[in-house]
Amino acid sequence: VVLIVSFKLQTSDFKLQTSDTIMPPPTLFACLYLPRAAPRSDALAAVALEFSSRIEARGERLVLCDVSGLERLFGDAQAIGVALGRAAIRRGLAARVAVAGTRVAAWIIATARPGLTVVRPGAEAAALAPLAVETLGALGEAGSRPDDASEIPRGRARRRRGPARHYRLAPAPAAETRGEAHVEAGVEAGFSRPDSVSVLGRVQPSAQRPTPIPRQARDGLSLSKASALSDLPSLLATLTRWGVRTLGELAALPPSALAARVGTAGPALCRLARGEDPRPLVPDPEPRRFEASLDLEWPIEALEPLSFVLARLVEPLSADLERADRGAVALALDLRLVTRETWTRTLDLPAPIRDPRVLRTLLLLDLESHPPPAGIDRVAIEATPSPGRIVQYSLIEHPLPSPEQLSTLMARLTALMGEGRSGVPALVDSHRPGAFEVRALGDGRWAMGKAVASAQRPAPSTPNGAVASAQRPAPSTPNGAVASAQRPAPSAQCVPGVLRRFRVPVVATVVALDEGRPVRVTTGRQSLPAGRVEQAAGPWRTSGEWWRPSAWDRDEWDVVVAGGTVYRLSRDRARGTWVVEGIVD
Amino acid sequence: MAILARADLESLLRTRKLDGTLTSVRPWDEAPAGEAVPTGLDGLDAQLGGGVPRGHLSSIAGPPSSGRSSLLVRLLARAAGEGELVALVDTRDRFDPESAAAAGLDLSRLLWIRGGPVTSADSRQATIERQVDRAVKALTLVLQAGGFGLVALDLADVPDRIVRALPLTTWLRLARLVEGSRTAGVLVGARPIARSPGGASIALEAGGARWAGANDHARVFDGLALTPRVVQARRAS
Repeated sequence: VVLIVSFKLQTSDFKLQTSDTIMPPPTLFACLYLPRAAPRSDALAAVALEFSSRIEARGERLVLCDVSGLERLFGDAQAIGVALGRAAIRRGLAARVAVAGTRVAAWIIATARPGLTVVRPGAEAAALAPLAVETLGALGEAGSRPDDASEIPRGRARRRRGPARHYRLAPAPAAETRGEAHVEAGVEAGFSRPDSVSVLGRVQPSAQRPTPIPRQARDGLSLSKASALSDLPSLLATLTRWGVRTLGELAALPPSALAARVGTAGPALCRLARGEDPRPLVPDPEPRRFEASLDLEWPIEALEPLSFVLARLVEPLSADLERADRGAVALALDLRLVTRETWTRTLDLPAPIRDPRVLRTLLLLDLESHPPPAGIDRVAIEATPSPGRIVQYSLIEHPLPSPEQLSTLMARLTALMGEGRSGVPALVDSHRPGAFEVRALGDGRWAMGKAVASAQRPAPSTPNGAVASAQRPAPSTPNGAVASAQRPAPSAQCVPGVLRRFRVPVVATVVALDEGRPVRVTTGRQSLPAGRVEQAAGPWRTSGEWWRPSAWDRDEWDVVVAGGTVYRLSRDRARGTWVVEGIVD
Repeated sequence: MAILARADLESLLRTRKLDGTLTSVRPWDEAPAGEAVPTGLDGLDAQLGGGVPRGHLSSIAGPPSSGRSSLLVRLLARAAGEGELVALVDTRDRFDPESAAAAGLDLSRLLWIRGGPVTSADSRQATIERQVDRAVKALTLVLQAGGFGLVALDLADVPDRIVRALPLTTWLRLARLVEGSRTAGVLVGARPIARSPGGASIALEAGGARWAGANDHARVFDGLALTPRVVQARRAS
């Protein structure tokens, strides 16, 4: 008991000492806002990252950053703002800059005022007071987060009687247009002339109305309809209809009375109107690059020693990816050659992969197919990260090879058989007989289930193997009777023939009757049976692409020669030559 | 005494990991239900005991127009229809996707490995030998990758002397790769090539072309009638 009492005494002493001696550090926030879309999505964030690592990017057009402590480098808040504006101009961005003691104040002022605006710490409420109450709408439009929305809970504003008929955002002031014109011309006068810098808290300008943010340029930053801020425009319209015109008037309203009328969103709006932050700044994680490089003492010319170098680079890279719960969806390999050239290879992986053995094997197999023309001085690998893959295994469906296995297999097959010699066959939208294409593996179709696969199955075809009747009608007899109507049902052991197609058709010598019916077939190959035609069916005339040099116009026949071999013959109607397209097997 | 000595020898070979030529599945073991890829032809499936067995290397042999390609496509279509991936190593690049799709094969679940093109600089035999060599290597890669329901090697248009020139260990190695997996291996050729002890060998004959139509002008090729003859290990009744 004695020990506990003494500990309490010590704790109380410590509290007394710390509260008397430690002062909270002054905070200073800057907001960069682009009235127009940026040429690059991360351009504005890159400007802010030059000054602080604690930034909050709200889309492409608005970035908040913590600039506390930069006074020793740049000077006062005004000098920090000028430096921010100049950095934006160097990157070709016509950004508005606001520096204030709170995040919300900097945000609202940057969206409401052109050029540079500096608010002295502690004067945020006074600086915001002359602004129109619609200015708060920028918080709901330009990239609010759900935690911001929690500060404005849903209240009685939902019980409004109707839409805000008289609500309309004011047009942009003329001064703003002039200020932007200076910036766009590349003149830094906007951030160098002291008279163009507004230092609020000392100067009380006239009431400013915000520039509406175009709906098309919101960059997907608006909250969902279920969020509280989705009701913010109607709430502000209600306040405007009640005669509350400026943020100063809103801040002066009694919170309890406002809460009684519009719900708990009212006091939250009052706090925002005074420039109070609903929460501290939550910095965005710093973008991380996954790359590794190695300068070699002696040039490497063979792949075998290079594999050890690749292993040395890929293993720590994979460890970094695993620590970040990421996988590589693309690998960029840069080999600096002794000829001072750079041999670049890029591998697009079908799924996020971070297994070092798989990555090294894929790189080596790609280099086997595309070897560098000279010795290698330097090896650099950069991985494009992606969130890890979550696989749900099934107890019902058959297990499929993993993307790692498939990508490795395809790389090995490509190295063995050649480029484009392995893949998934697919029919193309063409009437040309035998038209197909081979698609690369890895587009995710193999991960689909049985239902999707069966839905992609093509329509049934005519008996001679041509694609569906929509493209090629069923053969009919000269007397008008459709042949398929006379066809008997196949027995259980009877199968439709599958063609074994010669990629280069075999030239044949065919003796035909006057009507074109072949009666004897011979070819130059001993492996192909020749002789008298025992049965023949045809002709089926196909033609197409007459406007191209690759046009075709021919008659097709199915014939069986002595010995039972079934040929698919075709006769070019223009030249009169016969070829064997394939064997029905 | 002799049986005991053989069991001891097999046990010793397995301990030393020298059992590459032994099979862990006895050929007379009956394949459990569902461990075969059916052809969809009732008579043939009855002869095969359900279909082409998984975990074994089987063979389809026959002359041109005997239906060996049609039978192979039926097997591929059945396996792909069950949601499995299938692979075809097409040594001479004879596969026709159009007619295979018409026969019911879901092309999106087929890995097609095409043999290399014939160059005019090489002699025909040298080209085919290189194609066969690469096809066997490609089949090995696919089997080592695993996860395929059916893997086929098409050697139908390869001259018999080139197939016979392949070392016997090639087929033993392939059978060993297939063994114990859910993959059904199929070799297609003009003559029976090889099969594992638990696999089946299906011999087909030509002359089964079926025609519809009463006269020459109305005649339509209707398909191929298969006359299979199945050779496989005796199964326990």
